[in-house]
Amino acid sequence: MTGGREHPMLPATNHDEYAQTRFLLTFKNYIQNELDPLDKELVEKVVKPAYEQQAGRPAQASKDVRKLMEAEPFHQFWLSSLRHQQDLMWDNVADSVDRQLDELQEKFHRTETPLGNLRLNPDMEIPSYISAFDNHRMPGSYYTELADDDLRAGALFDGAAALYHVNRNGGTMNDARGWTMIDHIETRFPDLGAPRRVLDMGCCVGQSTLTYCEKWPDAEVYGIDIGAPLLRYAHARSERLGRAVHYSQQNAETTDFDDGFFDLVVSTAAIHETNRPATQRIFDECHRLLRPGGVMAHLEVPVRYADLGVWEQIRADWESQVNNEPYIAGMARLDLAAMAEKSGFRDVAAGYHWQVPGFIPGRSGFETEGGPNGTLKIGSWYMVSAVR
Amino acid sequence: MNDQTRTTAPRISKGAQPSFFEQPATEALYGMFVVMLEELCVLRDRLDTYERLGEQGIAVTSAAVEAYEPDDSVEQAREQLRHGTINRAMRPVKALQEAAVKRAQSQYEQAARSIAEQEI
Ligand SMILES: C[S@@+](CC[C@H](N)C(=O)[O-])C[C@H]1O[C@@H](n2cnc3c(N)ncnc32)[C@H](O)[C@@H]1O
Repeated sequence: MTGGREHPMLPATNHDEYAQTRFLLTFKNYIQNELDPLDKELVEKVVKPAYEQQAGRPAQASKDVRKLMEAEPFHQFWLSSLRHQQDLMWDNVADSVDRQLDELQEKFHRTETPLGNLRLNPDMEIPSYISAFDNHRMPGSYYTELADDDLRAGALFDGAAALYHVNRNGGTMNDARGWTMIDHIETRFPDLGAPRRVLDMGCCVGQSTLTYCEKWPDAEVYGIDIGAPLLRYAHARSERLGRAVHYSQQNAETTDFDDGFFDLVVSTAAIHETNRPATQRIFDECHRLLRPGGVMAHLEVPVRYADLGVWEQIRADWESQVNNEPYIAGMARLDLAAMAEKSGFRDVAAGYHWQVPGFIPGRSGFETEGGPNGTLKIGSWYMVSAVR
Repeated sequence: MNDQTRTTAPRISKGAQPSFFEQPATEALYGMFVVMLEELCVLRDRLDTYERLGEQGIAVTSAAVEAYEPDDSVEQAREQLRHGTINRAMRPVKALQEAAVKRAQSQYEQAARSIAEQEI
């Protein structure tokens, strides 16, 4: 477990930048702990009864009450609070990263004796589901390059993740998704054994990727992403942490690896940033890349509209519509297991896996039912996994 | 380089810039408010650092401020102050919710009463 370890690529914070992160964390928790319950009460006590009176039937989905909610001044503040804390977070981290960008670029250039490697493809086309808007409102998104060897987007993403998701997703290494993936693989596929070759699709800055190196030290680990600045940063980060990863800039829908090259192909929190046809093509590509008996597993946000109450759907709509993750709402209604079967996979399952802080032998955290009373299953991830 | 349209590091995200309030100006003002709230809390942490350096007999220089590392009890005290500041600032917003719930409840009570009276 690499939990709270600082690493040498992480942008540093000065006194006031650190104080900004503390403010935003307090504000974020305040919204979650004190404003969310009031917003939910507004749905239950004000808007649902009003809807029922108007429509003659109870409200069943967020779309039923959306208009009524958006007319409520408190709800307007709630929506806007979430938006401004997100925008201010990126703005603060950008100030901090830009202050030390020369140093970070310098570190990238000084990356020596590589354990792994970095293969970029400037001709790769950025898919429209990434280029049309900036995911989770990160200005410039994953791919914008303003200088040669630009790694700014990687520093921005890692800085934000390390500073703001500190207590939720595995400390400054932000690697709880990777450890949860490993727990899922060991729970569902005990016979797979230690894979020889692992591919992480949508690896971003390699936060999850490095857990696979740590778990399976003899495996060759590959990471692909569409964003060159992310991959440069990921490469410099991995080398400094003493982990060998082969990074390349590729679209997960069509990669240049040979048929049957991998024993395990995974992704963590990447599928929801694509779209429906791309998801099917990614599953097809996983099938092509795996040897017979190899395993595909995708870890996703634990949002399934069918399992959620009306307010929880409203919260998920915010992520989808305001935080520029439009496919969350789409993916959360799709039968991902059926799509995996369509790509030719067997032994397919989809469900929630409880997040683990590190691998605990014998623990089974996989369940198919949603949270009680339509609540979000916070602390879990939604998995779809299968055998080639 | 992939994006020819951007020449300086962008600070505003591509995509929806929604206004949740009736007036877009209110949305902008609330954005300013959150920034000012943050500035206030940052200043307050800085003042706290000054005081704690002073208590240790250390001269307040920018190097000393940067070198200062708050321990857990300092972090906790600061967290409490920040929470209090945010909570006071958000009281009028919470009051909007309370008023809406009260209004709805009295409407339903009234409706129920008039139905009950009809039935007598
Ligand atoms: C939210 S990040 C998840 C990061 C990482 N997997 C983790 O767990 O820390 C999603 C990543 O998926 C990448 N991505 C989205 N669509 C992709 C595609 N078609 N091919 C490769 N990468 C993709 C994005 O560029 C982004 O870096």
